[in-house]
This record gives sequence, structure tokens and C-alpha cells, in this order.
Amino acid sequence: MSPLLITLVAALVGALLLARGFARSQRPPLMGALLGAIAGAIGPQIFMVPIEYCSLEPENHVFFQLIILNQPIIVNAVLVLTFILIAIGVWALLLLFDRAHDQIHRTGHLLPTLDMPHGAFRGWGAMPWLLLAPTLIVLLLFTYYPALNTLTLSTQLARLGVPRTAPVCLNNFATLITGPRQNAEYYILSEMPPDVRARGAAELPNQFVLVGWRNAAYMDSLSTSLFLSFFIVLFANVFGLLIALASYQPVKGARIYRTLLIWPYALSAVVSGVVFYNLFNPITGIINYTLGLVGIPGVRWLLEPSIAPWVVVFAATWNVLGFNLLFYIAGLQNVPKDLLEAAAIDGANVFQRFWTITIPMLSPFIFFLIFTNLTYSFFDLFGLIDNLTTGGPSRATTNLIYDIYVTGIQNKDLGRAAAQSLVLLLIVIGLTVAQFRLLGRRVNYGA
Amino acid sequence: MRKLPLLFIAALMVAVAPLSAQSEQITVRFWQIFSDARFDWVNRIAEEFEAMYPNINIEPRAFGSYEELIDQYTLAREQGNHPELAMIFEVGTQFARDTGWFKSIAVAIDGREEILGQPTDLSDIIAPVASYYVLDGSFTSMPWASSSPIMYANMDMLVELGLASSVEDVDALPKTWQELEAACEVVLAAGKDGCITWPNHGWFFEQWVAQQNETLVNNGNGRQGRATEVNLTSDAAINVASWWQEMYNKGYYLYTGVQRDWNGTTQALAADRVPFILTSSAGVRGITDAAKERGVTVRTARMPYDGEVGWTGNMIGGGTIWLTDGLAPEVEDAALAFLLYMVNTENAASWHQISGYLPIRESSIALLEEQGWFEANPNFRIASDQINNSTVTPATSGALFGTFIPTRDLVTQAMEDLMLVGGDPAAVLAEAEADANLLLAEYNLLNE
Repeated sequence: MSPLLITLVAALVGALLLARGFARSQRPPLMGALLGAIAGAIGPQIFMVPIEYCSLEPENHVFFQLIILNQPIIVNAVLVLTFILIAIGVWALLLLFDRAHDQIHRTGHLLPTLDMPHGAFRGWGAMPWLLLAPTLIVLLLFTYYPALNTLTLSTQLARLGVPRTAPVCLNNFATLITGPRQNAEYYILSEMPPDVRARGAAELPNQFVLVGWRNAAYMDSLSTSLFLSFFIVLFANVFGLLIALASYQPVKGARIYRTLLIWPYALSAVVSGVVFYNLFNPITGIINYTLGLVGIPGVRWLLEPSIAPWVVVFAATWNVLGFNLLFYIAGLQNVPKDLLEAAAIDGANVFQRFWTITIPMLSPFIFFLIFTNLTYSFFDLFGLIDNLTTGGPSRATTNLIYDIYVTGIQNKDLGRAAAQSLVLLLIVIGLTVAQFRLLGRRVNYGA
Repeated sequence: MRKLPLLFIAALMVAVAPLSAQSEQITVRFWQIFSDARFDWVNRIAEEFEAMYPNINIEPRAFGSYEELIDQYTLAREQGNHPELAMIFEVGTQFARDTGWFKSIAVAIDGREEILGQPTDLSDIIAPVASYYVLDGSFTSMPWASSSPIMYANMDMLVELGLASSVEDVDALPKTWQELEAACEVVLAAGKDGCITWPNHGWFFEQWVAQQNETLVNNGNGRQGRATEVNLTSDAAINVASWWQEMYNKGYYLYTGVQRDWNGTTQALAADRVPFILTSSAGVRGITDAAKERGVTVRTARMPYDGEVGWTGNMIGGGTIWLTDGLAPEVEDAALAFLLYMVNTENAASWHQISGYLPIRESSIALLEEQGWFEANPNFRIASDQINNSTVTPATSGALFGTFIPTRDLVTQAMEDLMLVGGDPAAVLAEAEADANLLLAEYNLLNE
């Protein structure tokens, strides 16, 4: 495979795709083919030129084993990534060209025109830029420059404290899939052998799995991250709403009670990590001690890989609950009383009123809280995990952000940590976009 | 509004004042890992030194652990606000050498008899310490806080369990793994939910491998040439992992669930959860005093070894102080003079007394003996005995390789997996070894 061949094939595919798209929307297909060919020719270069097509060189290739229906296949992870990057580049340009042409075709202008009169800044032309400068400088210096550095770093073998670096092409990304030693195995609808680290490995027979993997630590972190995030978001919102509803009842002293409920949010994730460590500590923990007093044997809270993630979920839920309560209580106050009363007169019961009036009225809050809780559980959870479990036992609570810390700071492997950061960024962007698409439409912001 | 000009002048004065003071003052920033009574000692020594040299400011700063300190130094280095002196643990030695950030102490002394009045003689540093830190024929960093892992025993509990005749019966303390297991059987039979604990930290694993006279890396433990292979699958290493796993499976070893948990293990002894712990001799002062306060006698013994293999010796652990390269000559001399003062005969002896770190000079040991210190405080003698009776071999001199720090984490993780998830020690260590070798190969690629 050569860069020229790739470009030609991509141009051909782009031409075909856009020609078809144009034909469907009653635009000239020939024009579509031309634009598609240009997009297809430029698309691959977006990612491939900065890395100088290095991913095509055999010495940069790394492999993993894919076992589908018990048939093992050796997959070249770098070529798979290359294909994905080229596809993304072409797809993005096709989309851009298509939208631009559509806009011109319909309105005659590339940019949408506004009916409103244009606002103008009177005075010195550079003035607006000068006023924007503080923000722009901070953004450039502390956001874009490090982000750009991360991009460079992610294609290098770089170790913290070692001045020299070596180019490794897409290896840092590919080895997230293949494992640094390229020994990862993925099983789809296949028999999976017991892991060497599994208890009593010798006696266990092969197990049939839908999807499974071995020796792919990054996949473990990814699944842990999704697991923790899902349950933190779920519990923090369900319990947050239930407690808000309960504390919103007109009871004497409810205001004081509500204020007290919000307190946990005042503690940082780090502090709640320390607090919960002292509660669940297997040696001097207060919970096991209390259980012992009433004759219940202690639970190995932080020592059992199947239990520890739930302790993290519990601690994190407790930590963000106050924040959610604050918003739900505020939200409940905004639910119009007359609507509820009207529904009650029409014969709707408590649950019907809750489901058809309260929930829709709260939807902007729910939507906002899911998003902020998700951000918390992907990023801010670090402080809690570091103080509660340090990612253990046996990596059972190592999520993506903690993995970045372990890789970059503890193992001093900056290149792989940079690659992980970028992947985490993409995952979070992906989740956000998905959320806006799936949930955003159902949100009712009222009149 | 009328006060504004006045405020402005005041602010200006505050801003300018330190500038004028700085021009004559030399500041030596000293990063170290202690934040308890040992930090108070460091501050006291710094104050004494400042009283003798009014133009020198010593600024000690405390960090949570060696790992944290070295990471912070690395980051500070990139920002250009790193300290003049940094305490780096023994496993960071090769890394520190390879960075080129530090100047050898011997090169900085440059044959001078004294620096700012502080004698430069390092010839009576005890042999096990010297054998670890003398690289290329001279001290590259200043030895200071050297310790060894030892066993601490709650004698009252042992007497109660019939494992010792009196609280002074130190001869009854287990010397080997086998004796320890026998004692643990008794402890568990008495209804305790654990017998012994130590931090799940690579240090203990390394010590037991060295006790069996086995090296951790090739090329004479990295001392005859740059190490290129890590050896975690030697018989000695598998022996250690198997024994540790067995101790856990039998319920003898109490795991706190946190890696590198120095505090939790000490707490286990203080909370009467276990009669034995292994930890650094650097805790002798704190642990003995804390026990005395609650009316319990804690006595120390050497780190148990595998009686079926025998004992070659133990290694030291702890930190030395590295001198940042590229300092102005007067700053470098001020830093050196402070170091020489901090480890002179009297201060090395006093450092031992307040902590339990080894008295690192022969002259300090002589001074302590003269004062009858060891007779009055027998717990403090064990670590010195253990180290000074060790046979110095490549194995007991300690390994040198650039990825020692992350490799330790791999060993720690392997041990945690063996305990909490189970598995075959040989297979799990083989995995860790392969990971460690990849790390070392990548590190060497960037450092050759």
C-alpha cells in the first residue's frame, strides 16, 4: 500500500458517495462527484501527513488476536487505526462539502445571512481583540498549547525525566488495544480460556463468552470507567430526586434539614475518599467494627475486586448527592402548582402527576445533572479513587483517568499516557454528543 | 479613594523589601520526605546551621513519600523552580544518575578538606551504606537516612498467647519463615484474625530475594554495567512470592488492601490486630514510644528469612541527598556545608536517636556506645546488627536500574493479584517480568 494508492481509492470512494448523495437531493451528481473526489483526496492527508504515513511501515505495526466463533485471527492494530483515521478525515470533509454546497444551492450564500441589522463595534478596529486578549492568551497558553503538546507526545516514546524521545508512530494508541507486549486476545462468541490470574485457574474449564478479553489492561480500565459512571449517574439522580421530593414536603424544620443534606457536596472528592477509606478500611474501619459489635462478620470491602467498585460508587454518589439535591429542590420549586392542581382535579393520581408533570418540568435539570455527574465520574473521581482504593484491589477500581495517572506519573510513560488522554477526550466528546442527540430532544425548557 | 496612593506605596515597599534582602542571602531549598518529628529534627538542624551562617537560608520542605518527591522534582525541573537539594530513595539512584540533573558530591567537594568550615571526611561511613552509594569510586549523593526492614513484636500479646515467657524474652521471637509460621499457627488458634503484616511494597520482596543471595537484574545487579534484564522468575523470587501468598491464604498475613501502605500496617500493630509487623527501622522511635504510651512493650527483631535457604544479608533502604547541578559556586558550597553539618558524627548519632535510621558513621556508633545508648534502647540496635552482619555481595549491595521505581509497582501489583485474585506465582511473576523488561528496554533505548 502506498500513500498515492490510498489517496486515489479515497478520492474514488468520496466521488461515488457524494455523487449518490447529490442525486438523491436533486443536485447535479457530476458536481457531487467532483467535490467528493476532492474531499476524498484531501481527507486522508489530514491525519496521515502529520505522521508522514509512518503507520504503513511494517516496523511500526503491532498485533492482537481476535477470536470470533473460536476462529483466531491476527489483526494489525496500526493498520486498523490508519483505516479509521483516513475514514474519519474523508467523512468529515465529505460532510463539510455536502453541507456547504447544500447551503449555496438553497440560499445562494455560503454563510447563513441574518435578517437582523449587523451590530458594529465603534472606534478603534483592534479594540475588540484587545478586550478579548486576556481570555485568548489564557486559552492559548493553558489549553491549546498543552493540547497540541499532548498530540506530539502521543506519537513518541517519552518518559518523564528522560530528555530524549523516540518516534513510535501510532504505537501508543495501538498498544492500548494490543497491550504493550502485544499479547491481548479478544473473544467474540467464543470459548475463552481461564485467565492465569483467576482463582483456581487450573480447575476452571473454558468458558463461552459473548465478548471477552485478556491481557488488555486498557479495556479493563474502560469497562471499569463505564461501570462506575453508569451507576454513579443512575444512583446520584434517582436518590437525589427521591430525597429532594421527600425533603420538599412541608414538614417543620424542612429548611434546616435541606441545608444539612447539601453538606456532603462541600467536601472535595479527595476528602470524601479519605472519609470513606476510614469507614471501610479492612483493619481499622468503623463499619466492620460496628458490624462486629452486633455479631455480623466484617465484609472485605476494599479487598474484594467484586465489592470495591460498589464502595466507590457509594462514596461518589454520596459526594455528588448534595449537588444534585440542590438542583432538584430548586427544580421542584419551579414546577407550577396550578398545573399539578389542575391535574389533580382532573383525577390524576400522585404517580401520574409525578410522571407527566413533575418529570417533564424537571427535564432540563435532569439533563444538566446527568451531564455534570458524568463529567464528575470520568474526571473528578480521580481524587476519590486515589484516596479510597488507589485503583485496587487488583486494578478493580482503576478507571480511565486513574490509568492515565498510573501510566504517566507512576510508570513515567508519558507517551502512552498522552495517547490515553486523547482517547479519554474522544470518549467524553462521544458520550456528550450521544447524550445531546438522545436526551437533548426530550428536554422541555418550557415556554 | 484618598487612601489609594498610600496603599500603592505600601504595596510597592512590600514588593521591593524581599528583593533587597535576597541580594546578600543565599537560599538553599531542601526537599525531603518527613513531616513528623523527623521533620522537626531537620528544621532544628537547619536553624542551628543558619545561626552559624547568618547569610544562608535553609528552606526544608516536606513531601508525602519518596515517589511523590521525585515526581515533583521532575515536574519542578521542567518549570525551572527545582530545589538545590533533593532527597531521593535508593531505588531512584540509577534514574537520578541518568538524568544528568545532579552533580556528584565528590566532584563538588573536589578534594577540599573542609567547606565553609565543615570537614568533608566521608571515610567512616559504614560499609553497607558505602557499598550501595559509592558509584564509579566515589559518593555521588550524600548518605543520610538509611534504614533496614525489621520485625516489631507486641510482647504483651505474645506473653498472653504463651509465645514468650516475659516481655523481655526477645530470644523467643521467630527468626525464620518457618518459626514465624509456627508462631502464627498459635496466634490464629487463639482467635486473632491476623498474625503479621507489612506494607505491600517492593522493598520487602527485594529484601527477601537478596537474603537468598539472588540479584534482581543482570550485569551484577546493574553494578558492572547497565542492567538490561530484570529477573523476577528466579527460584528465590518465586520462593518469596509463594511464601507470601501462602501466608495470606492461611490468614497469617493481614492485608490492608492498599499498596505501599506504611501507615496502615503500623496501625495494625497499634490497634492490637496483629502481634507482629515488618516495617522500616526508621519507625523504631515512633513505634516504640507509641506502644510505651499505651502501656505495651514492643520489641524488635531481625527480618525473618527462609530457614531452608539461609541468610546472606539484608540491604539498606532509604534516601540520600542529591545536589542539583549548575548552581552558583557560593550556593553549591552553602548546600554542601549544610549537608556535611547534617551528617557529621554528632548529628548522625542524634538522627539515629530520634528516628531509628542507621547511625551511618563508625564514629557515630562509637559515640552512641560510649553513651550507653544501645544498652538502654535495645530496639535501636537490631537494624545496625542486621546490616553490619550482612555479607556484601552484588545481591545485598542492591540493584541499579533506571526503571526500578515502576518495576516495584509491577511487583506490588503482582503480589496483590496473587493474594486477592489468586493464581500461580511463577506465572504471575513471569507476566510482571515481561512487563518490567519492556519498561527497561524502552528506558535504555532513550538513555544509551
